[in-house]
Amino acid sequence: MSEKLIKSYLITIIAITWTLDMNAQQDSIRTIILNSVYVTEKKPTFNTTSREVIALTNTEMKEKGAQTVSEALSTIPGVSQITTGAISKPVIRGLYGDRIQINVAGLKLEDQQWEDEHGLGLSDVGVERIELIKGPASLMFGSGAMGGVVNIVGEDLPEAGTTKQNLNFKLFSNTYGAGIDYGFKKSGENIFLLRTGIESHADYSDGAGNRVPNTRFALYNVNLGYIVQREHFKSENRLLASFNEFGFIADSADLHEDVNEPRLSREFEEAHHTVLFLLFSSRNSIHLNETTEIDVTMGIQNNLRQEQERSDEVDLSLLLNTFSLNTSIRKQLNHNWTMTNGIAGMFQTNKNFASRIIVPDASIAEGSVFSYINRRQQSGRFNGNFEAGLRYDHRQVNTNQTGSQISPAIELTPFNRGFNNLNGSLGESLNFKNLLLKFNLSSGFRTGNLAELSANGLHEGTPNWYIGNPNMKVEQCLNADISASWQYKWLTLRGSAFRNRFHNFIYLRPTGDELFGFNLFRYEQTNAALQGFEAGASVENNKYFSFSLDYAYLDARRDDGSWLPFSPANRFLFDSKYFLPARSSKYQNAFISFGVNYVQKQDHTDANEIPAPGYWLINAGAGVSFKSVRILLSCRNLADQKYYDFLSRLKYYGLNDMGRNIVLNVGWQF
Amino acid sequence: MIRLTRNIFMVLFLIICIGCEDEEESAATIEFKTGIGYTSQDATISKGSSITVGIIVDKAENNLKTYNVSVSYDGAATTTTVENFNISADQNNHYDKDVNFTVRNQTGAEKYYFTIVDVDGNIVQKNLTFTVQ
Repeated sequence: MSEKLIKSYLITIIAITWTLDMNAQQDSIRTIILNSVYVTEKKPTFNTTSREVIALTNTEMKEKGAQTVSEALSTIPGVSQITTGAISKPVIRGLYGDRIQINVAGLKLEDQQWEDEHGLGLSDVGVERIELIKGPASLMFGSGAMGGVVNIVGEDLPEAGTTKQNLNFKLFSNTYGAGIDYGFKKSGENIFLLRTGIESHADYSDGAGNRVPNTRFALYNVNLGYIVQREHFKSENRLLASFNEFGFIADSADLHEDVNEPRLSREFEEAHHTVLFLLFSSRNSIHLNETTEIDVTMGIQNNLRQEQERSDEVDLSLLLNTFSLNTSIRKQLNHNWTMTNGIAGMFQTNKNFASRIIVPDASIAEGSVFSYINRRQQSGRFNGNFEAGLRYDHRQVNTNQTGSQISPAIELTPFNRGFNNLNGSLGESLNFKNLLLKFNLSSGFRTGNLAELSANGLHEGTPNWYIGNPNMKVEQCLNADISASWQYKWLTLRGSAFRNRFHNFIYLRPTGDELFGFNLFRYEQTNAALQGFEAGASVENNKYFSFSLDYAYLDARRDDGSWLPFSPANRFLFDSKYFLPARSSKYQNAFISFGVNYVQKQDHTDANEIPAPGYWLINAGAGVSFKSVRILLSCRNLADQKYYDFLSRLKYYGLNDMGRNIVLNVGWQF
Repeated sequence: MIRLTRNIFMVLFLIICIGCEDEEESAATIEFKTGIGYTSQDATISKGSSITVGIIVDKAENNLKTYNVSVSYDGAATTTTVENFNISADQNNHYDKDVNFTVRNQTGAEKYYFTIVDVDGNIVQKNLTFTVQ
């Protein structure tokens, strides 16, 4: 399907919905709340769970000048991002791709994460906040949540009887990027939400001012929500549609092709991929009585990924359709104990539509049963929360004969395999006066993805031939996590340590052999362990200032002592914020901020990886609210440092990461 | 308004379902030369024999990029490159190449792969198997 057609449809829809909602405002709004202060987002704390959970609000993402959700997440200690230019995906404590789970609107995001250059492609449009859970969470979410979970929370619901609209503009100096999004919320008998946005970026430049070719990207989003809320029933229905285009470098010859192209060019004539993503989710809660609640979440996702390398033809076209259903019943057993039992199911199909076949046509079915208990204990200043649970999963992978139209000789052998797994989690959080202690022991699992089980083909954009193994065992992990936080007046000290032990860790091994002149890689399994810690301190006075300093350390290796691929470098993060006193009632919430990232050199390399030197990045920002307008200015890499991160995949082409980027965000709430 | 947007999205879902048709991409053609002195079929040959295989390739939609001749010995799953060529711009529509090689001085099966890759990474391949006695 023509990407121009898709883009046109989305732009048309954005325009239609925008126009209609402007009309709706004139027609039907009886009460418009004009806030004198821009809405302050709620930032939840997670003291009652034994897991390490961190929230990042939409405003915080904007204050940091992040271009994508992955980049915003990478400002959290213990989180990094693998980048291929503008394409990025988060890395949590050294794990990424199919080892972490992304939840959108209550559903596990299914978007072909089996390739390193398949990014998340999510912007902050329509996102209220991101909640990050570190460590395995297979008990809650099943296969894949081994390194952590990124829970993307959609916009909050408006207060009863209110209508709110806002308009946000973004400008990015480095990529000559611009973005606009509009949101509408109306709460009557039922609640209606709308958010539409467009964002477009040209190629970025590194710290020496050199243009990095074909790193342009564009994002188009439409989000809708319809919520029915009654005394004993709530139904939250969300529809998300996005269309993303990302340029990439398919060949070293591409490095020289954009030289004469205008600097502001946003055309996708060179190698690029597009992702059309549609998601419908329905989350329903029924309060049966004072002690019992039923949750039913179901959804459909369509993910159409198309890649085009050097010709006008689509070489790789994959459509992933997913249907999910999760049902649970939560019962308060007595004053302290709560029990949750549930079942979950998923059915997925993958279909190829173009000449390049890397993974086969396939259908995947998954069924799970789970049960967990929670005990809350409170006596005086002591708060305790105990959690424990078990989950059984069965996953059936069935691949079909999928021959390449171009190379019928190279066919993927079909197979039908079932995988079973039992997982558990046990944890306690203890809160005594100013001290918060958390302990958690959790297991996780995943089955090989379609590439790992059955790849047999040329990896796009490389001279590498990948071969999977349909006889792979289930990859399992057991993670122990302990964290502590101590607060005294303005001072907070915090630290967490973890060890994530893997059995049958799946990885891609360069064999040193070749096939038809290509470098031959095979997916194999080994035992491995990832261990490390995050430690930090902060001094916070909400009226005048806040300072924080954090350090994240990771050691990730196989049992034979060799390093795992894409191990993020250890790093220091320093952030400070100074709140300026309001000089008049018109100007509020003014601040200036300053931050430094020091990323240490990384020479813990897997075969075929190249090390990266350490680097410093200085960031700064400022913000102020004027009546209902919020202005944020942020600068990433203020010193215009020329550098590349170890997790940058463009370093293999001798390309650097982004230089100075000044980001202006203006939000108007009305 | 709500009904309209709902309908729009139903249309979008339909588009994605019916819009994904197979992207018909025709392949380059690769033919063995059959004249005197050329080998163009599987054969049984004696140890240490020299062979000449010629190919003629015509592109379909995409320009031709590389030509590789590889061999796998005795049913091995991996191959060894015999010759590798980058196809120059003046030949990327039509490519004509002869390759000479010598089979091992031992008995066994030698399967030669003749692989053309276009600029999009699409592969066209033919092979010849020689039983060496």
